[in-house]
Amino acid sequence: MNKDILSMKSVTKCFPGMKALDNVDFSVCYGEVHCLIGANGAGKSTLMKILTGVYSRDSGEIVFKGNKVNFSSPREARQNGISIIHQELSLVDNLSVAENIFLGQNNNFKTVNWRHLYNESRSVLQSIGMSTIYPKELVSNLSIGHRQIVELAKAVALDAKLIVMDEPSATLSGAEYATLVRVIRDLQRKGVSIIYITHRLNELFDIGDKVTVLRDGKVVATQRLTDTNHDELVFQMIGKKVSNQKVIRNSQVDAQRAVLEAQSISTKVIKQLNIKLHAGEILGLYGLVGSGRTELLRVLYGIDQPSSGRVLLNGQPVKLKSPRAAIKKGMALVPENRKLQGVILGLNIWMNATVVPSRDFVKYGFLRISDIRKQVGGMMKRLNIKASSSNTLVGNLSGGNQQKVVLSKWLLKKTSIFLLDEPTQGVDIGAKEEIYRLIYSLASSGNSVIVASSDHEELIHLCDRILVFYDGEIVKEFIDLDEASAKILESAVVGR
Amino acid sequence: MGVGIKSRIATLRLREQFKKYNLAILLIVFIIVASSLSNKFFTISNLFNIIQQSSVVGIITLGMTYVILVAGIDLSVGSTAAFSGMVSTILISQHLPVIMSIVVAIFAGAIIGLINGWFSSYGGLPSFIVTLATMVAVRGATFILTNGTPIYGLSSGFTFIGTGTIGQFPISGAIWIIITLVLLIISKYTGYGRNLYAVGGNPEASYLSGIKVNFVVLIAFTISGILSAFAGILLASWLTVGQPTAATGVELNAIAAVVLGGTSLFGGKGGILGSFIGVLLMAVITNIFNLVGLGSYYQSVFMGVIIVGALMMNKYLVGEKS
Repeated sequence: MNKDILSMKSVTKCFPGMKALDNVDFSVCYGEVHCLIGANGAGKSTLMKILTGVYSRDSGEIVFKGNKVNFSSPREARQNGISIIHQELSLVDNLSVAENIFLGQNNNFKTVNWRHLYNESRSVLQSIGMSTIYPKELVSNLSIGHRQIVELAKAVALDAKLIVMDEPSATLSGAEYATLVRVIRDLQRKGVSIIYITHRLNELFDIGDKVTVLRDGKVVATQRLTDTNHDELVFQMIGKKVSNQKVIRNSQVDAQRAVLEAQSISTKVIKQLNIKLHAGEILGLYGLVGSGRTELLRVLYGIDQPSSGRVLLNGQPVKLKSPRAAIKKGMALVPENRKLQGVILGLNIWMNATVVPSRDFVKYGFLRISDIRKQVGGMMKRLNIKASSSNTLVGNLSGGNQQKVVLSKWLLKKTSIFLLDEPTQGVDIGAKEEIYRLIYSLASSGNSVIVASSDHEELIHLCDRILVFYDGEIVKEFIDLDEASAKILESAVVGR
Repeated sequence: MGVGIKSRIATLRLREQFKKYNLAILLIVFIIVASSLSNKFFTISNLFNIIQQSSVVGIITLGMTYVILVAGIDLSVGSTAAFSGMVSTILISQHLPVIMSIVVAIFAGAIIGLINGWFSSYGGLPSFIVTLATMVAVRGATFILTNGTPIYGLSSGFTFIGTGTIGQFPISGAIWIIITLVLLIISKYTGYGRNLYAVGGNPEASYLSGIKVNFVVLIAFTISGILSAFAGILLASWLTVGQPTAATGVELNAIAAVVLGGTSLFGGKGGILGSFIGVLLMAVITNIFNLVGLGSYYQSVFMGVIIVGALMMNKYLVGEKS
């Protein structure tokens, strides 16, 4: 009994109109990696926010290192040895690695001992086996993976006994992920406990000792990972079976008709790229972060201007000076960063769904609000957007539902070329399936889709053809997807 | 425990309701306080007086609201008001037709707004600095117009706008209410109004969705310039004098009223109705001060305290810890 570092008992929390957590029991042993999974809105983040003092609980108790605790702020939780690493990293980009590691530990009224700061940072980084990161480097110069490591170093510097990691792997490439796993193992050996939140079920078996599944604010199961398997976890998460098989579809690619074509496009990042997108095709772009896939989409969508090369739509050369121009030509972008680029969190669903300027929504200069709300309501049903009405603020929706709102704005606009950048990042498994099915139906009704993703399984699952990016160039084309599943990772890492 | 949760949900619902109407409730509270402090408060002449006095800052606040909704700020409203007030009175004293003088003066305000808007959007500068610069420069230009001397002897056709009444209701107040309604309808029921909120809420997402972000910002500043100019003309008409020192510091009152009205300085949240009530709230407070005979130095101090107090109380009552 005493080997639990943390035990939360019958924790309950209500928000206006809903019960976010219902009598949740959750405990973590010393030196354990305990995974926490659940669909979006299942209550994972609420539970963690209660643990770290962001929210107060309505009832229940929390015992940490043998004492009843009641943290009133994240700061207090941190001082007691609980660190949380959010999905959106909380690093200050314009400060050095060392300053970030000791952020919040400076005394306002004392001078900074720089040499000491750098030495300490170096030894912290060494202790987690990451001496390749240079303490004087600016965080803005680091890769996403290394930033994640700096966050971990920060927790180590605070002597955290329990580290909560919220979807740390969502933006990591394969190699970066391997480093993360190694660092987690190191920490574990030092007796640090870790709560690991993720949507990628395969990872659990690499990393975790135990897993707790939440659904609709209740604990469905807590089990050792050796006692369960992928399919069982999925079943526990969504309460029903999902077929793991690829949806059979008649892909109707019209290889004679190239709707979108890029001819020797170059920018600072990409070099002389040529691609062709056919009518009815789902084309995958695979590559690590920074390999050029997002940069290509930005050019195609008129955000960035290429230094050379041209873009052709239906065989005609076009000059796309802005996203607005691209939209007029029937293109749509679902951007990589949903919260910063995709949705307007402070506005409600119908306003977000109709944010793309369109004559359909206006009559004599006035919005046809009742008509708009009817259309948006229909779209919410079609995409299964879970919200009480189209007046619900998008900021209150889960990631998967937010992404569906982004998709619905393009469906309402009736576009024909869809550029999707990481369309299922941070989306739970149920919503993922729904988004896949939507992409299929778009393609089979004659639209063309480009999907850029760092999840190769997703692309193999979805696409007719996959292009692999490496260092700004296309290094491989996979038409045979069985071959792709064997070789795609290698080719993205090696560049051949 | 089930009961405990139910009652908790009920209090949360009540909070939501309160959040929605808190400003109106606050206004009513101050009105009750006012009427208990002085039996002169609830007289027709006093109430109409409040509206008359609020209309100038009220109109400026409406434009300020649009600017703040797109996450900008307009510090030049006071100077613009003074400049346009002077332009209109100079033209009238030269015996130009009233309507024409007013149109020219409003046009001048529109130009100032366009300049503010262009530099703050296409120009890529922070609006705080841009409008700080125009605030200083336009005030200077206002003094240059007449070498600093006020303009008296305005025609009754002109002063009627600011001093006249319909029945007992002040015309300036009626104008204020009409402009409020127009801007309210634009913000709620037109594409431009919706874009104001989208651009203020997330400029990047708006741009990627094909909204002309810079244009939306440009127009918001232009509207602010036009309304400031009109308010300045109204002020000159009401005071029956064109003064280069007019409307000094009014930008601060306008910003305070907008924020008091629940519009976020970060943009994308709030609206016209809140600002209208915000102005009324500040006018009622000033009226209370006057009725109890508080000196103007003390008035300033108390006004500051009340603004922060009201915002803090609001935060405490409706704010969830986050």
